[in-house]
Amino acid sequence: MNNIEKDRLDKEIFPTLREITELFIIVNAEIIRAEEINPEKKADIQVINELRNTLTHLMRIFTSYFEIERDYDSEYVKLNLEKAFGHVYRAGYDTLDWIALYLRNYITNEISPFSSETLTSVFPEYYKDIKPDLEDINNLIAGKRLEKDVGNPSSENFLEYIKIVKRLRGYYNEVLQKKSSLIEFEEKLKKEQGSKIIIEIIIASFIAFFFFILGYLFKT
Amino acid sequence: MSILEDYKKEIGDRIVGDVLDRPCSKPKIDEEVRDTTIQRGSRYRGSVRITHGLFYTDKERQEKKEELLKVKPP
Repeated sequence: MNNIEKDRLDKEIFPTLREITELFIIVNAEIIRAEEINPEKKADIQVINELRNTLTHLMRIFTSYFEIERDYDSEYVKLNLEKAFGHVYRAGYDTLDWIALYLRNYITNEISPFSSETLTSVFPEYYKDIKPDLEDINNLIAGKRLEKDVGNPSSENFLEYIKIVKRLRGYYNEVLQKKSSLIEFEEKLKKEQGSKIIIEIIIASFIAFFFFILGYLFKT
Repeated sequence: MSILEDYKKEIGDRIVGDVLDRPCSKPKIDEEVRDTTIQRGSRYRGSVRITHGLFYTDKERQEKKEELLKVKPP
């Protein structure tokens, strides 16, 4: 490798290539998580296709660098580095969308069977912190989806989205940990409500009977 | 002789123009693709999920995302 080639690598290719590599490692890990969290165990081929497109752009860079079939063109290399980054980014975003959507769904499914009274008594954090945050997360996800379409990919944006998904994962674990206490309280509440209804029926019957007797006595 | 030179010598007509610069395609994935994938799955090494047809078609992908987006926590 001569000095010109080394200079091209060090200044024009390596910094972005390193960023793409690091992003790819994260995206790959998230794809595995997404496939595991998917209840139907389905893969997303469009995400895999984004990674294939990444490879195509990387190969374009290398053909230019090695001057195979073409001359070295720094603008061409720069453009393809951006495109390669964009495809890994897109694969990552689509994957995080799946994880976020499923986690929201799982949290909702776990929480839905319980009354608001149970949630307030056993899991006050749900209405106080988690639910408002879930609403905010919904808006953030919608916002992130728009940003993705605008096409301004950056590692910072991606990291921000990962943090949101991490928060969702934390909430889901919190909900699962509270599940047994929620079930216990809900059953206790139902029993109490059942007893209350029986007592109310007995009292109502007694009052009705009392007035019936009273009416009968007045009549006679 | 490099593999590319060798290839061009033997089957060179396949590399016409800038093949590598052709636009990246987005494959259409539907039920037909799933059926074909399952039918031919045993001939290829690859993802177990995909060879068993465990992947979203474009329609399913869209519908599933819309369905999940509608979910509202209590």
